[in-house]
Amino acid sequence: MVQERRLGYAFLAPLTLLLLGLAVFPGLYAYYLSALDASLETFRSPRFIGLANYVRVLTDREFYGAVAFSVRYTLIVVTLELVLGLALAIALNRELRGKRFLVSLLLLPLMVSPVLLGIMFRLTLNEFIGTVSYYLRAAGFPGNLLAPPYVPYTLMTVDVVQWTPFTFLILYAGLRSIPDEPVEAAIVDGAGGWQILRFVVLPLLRPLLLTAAFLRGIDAFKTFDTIQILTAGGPGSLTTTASIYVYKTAFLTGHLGRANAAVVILLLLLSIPMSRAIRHILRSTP
Amino acid sequence: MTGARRKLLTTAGAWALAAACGVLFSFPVLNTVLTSLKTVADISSTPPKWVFAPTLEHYANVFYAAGYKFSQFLANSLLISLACSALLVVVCLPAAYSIVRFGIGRARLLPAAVSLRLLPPVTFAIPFFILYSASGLLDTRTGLVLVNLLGNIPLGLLIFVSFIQELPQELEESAFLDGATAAQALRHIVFPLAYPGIGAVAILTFIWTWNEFLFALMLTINKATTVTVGASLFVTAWGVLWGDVAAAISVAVVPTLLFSFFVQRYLVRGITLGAVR
Repeated sequence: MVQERRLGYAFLAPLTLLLLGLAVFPGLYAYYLSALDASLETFRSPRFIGLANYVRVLTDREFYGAVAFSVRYTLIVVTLELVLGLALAIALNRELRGKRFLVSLLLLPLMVSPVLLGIMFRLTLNEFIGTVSYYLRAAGFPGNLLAPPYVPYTLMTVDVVQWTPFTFLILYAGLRSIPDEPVEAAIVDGAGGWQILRFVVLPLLRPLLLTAAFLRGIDAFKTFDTIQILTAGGPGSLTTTASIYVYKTAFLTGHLGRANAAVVILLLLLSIPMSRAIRHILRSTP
Repeated sequence: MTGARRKLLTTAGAWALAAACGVLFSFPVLNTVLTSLKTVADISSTPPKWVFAPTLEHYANVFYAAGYKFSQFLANSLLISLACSALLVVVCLPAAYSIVRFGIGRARLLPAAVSLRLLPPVTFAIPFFILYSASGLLDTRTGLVLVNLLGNIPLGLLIFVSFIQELPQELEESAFLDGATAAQALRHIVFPLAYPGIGAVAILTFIWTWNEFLFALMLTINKATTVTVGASLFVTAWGVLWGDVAAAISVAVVPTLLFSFFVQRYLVRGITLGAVR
């Protein structure tokens, strides 16, 4: 058995090496970089500047704007995705005509790369050739939803379209695994639909609702792809999320060190929800 | 209101909600595919045409017109995604076996993998950019394979762990009694039984790698550009040619749509544990 254990370590060796090389080393390097004046031009010979990058980030109004936008975006989309996902799960948890087809329509956005979905929305909402824009204008609504003041809400809609299928799928699987007895008992006791939902179904779905909320919350906070392709954080910095702020600082203004300082601050902000999410996921998934 | 009528109304309401969301959710894809089949004149006609004579000119443009390197983008994505899938299975399956059967790494490695799933990818983007610039991996397919491996380790490891946990241990034990080593047990017993899990991990990894954008944007210049970044280049550089853009993204979503058909059962787990933002 000793030999078997040794083999066990051998089995883990490639993964451990990979994690050391691809996660631990670059991660530590990121902390080190945050204390350097590394820019796109000078990153081969940077100077140590202590906490100056952190001071620059923490006194940058755009940073606070980006974090505030990410928080607002996250709260709104996660709420909408949970409510809509739950509503769809309840709606489809019965015999319906064409149910299989409806489910595959609903799941479609999940299979599409976020960037490509973003481009599809650009096409659909284009001021001149977008089909949706045309009908909106014809109905007397504003025709360009990619311009302020509507654009933040358009971006949130894209997120809802992309990820509601996920919350739906999780909650649908959960609903189908709820045993009949508690629901039937509630019906016998004379409970109405809303009471059954509130006092029987929701408590049973709680772990799954939490998983979905944690994952969507953390993922929504770091949204990059769809917004980068739709607005690149603009106009101005109206739709700049935390991730886009880091990207702009690093690759558009060229301040690699400062961008890393922003990353470290963001990780600090995320550390509490992340550690709670890790505990929850490890307890409930495998 | 009688019970039967009430039930009919709820069913109608449920159907209406599902149908409305189904139309809303699939409309962008449908609209894109339709646009890719329209002539330039039909694309810009008002009101929008829903019935038209389809054309394949945009697809021909995407693949054959001078100046586009879309075939190269496709080839890059294909190679990177395939290599990443294969390597991920090779690295994660033995590791998961070790975690489940010997308990090595369960305390530290597994939570570390989950936290990797939650970390923002921008955390790694800048150090990778600098390390790649210094080591010549910038703008190479190898570089993107490595970074996508990192992104998919949580998915591979956690799916394999939960999969192996569900396999009956008796088979391996009797193999051990017959004098087999752990390597032989893994190869001849676990590996064949784990085919569905391996397929799911390989396909999900392929999909996430194919769909990945952030690293591909920051770590490529022009040689290793993938389809997602390539499609975004179409938008900015040839913004007016919406027909070509639509054709390019229609082609780019086909592999993931096809593959995800096979892994529908695993999608929830895949996204919960996987490298998707």
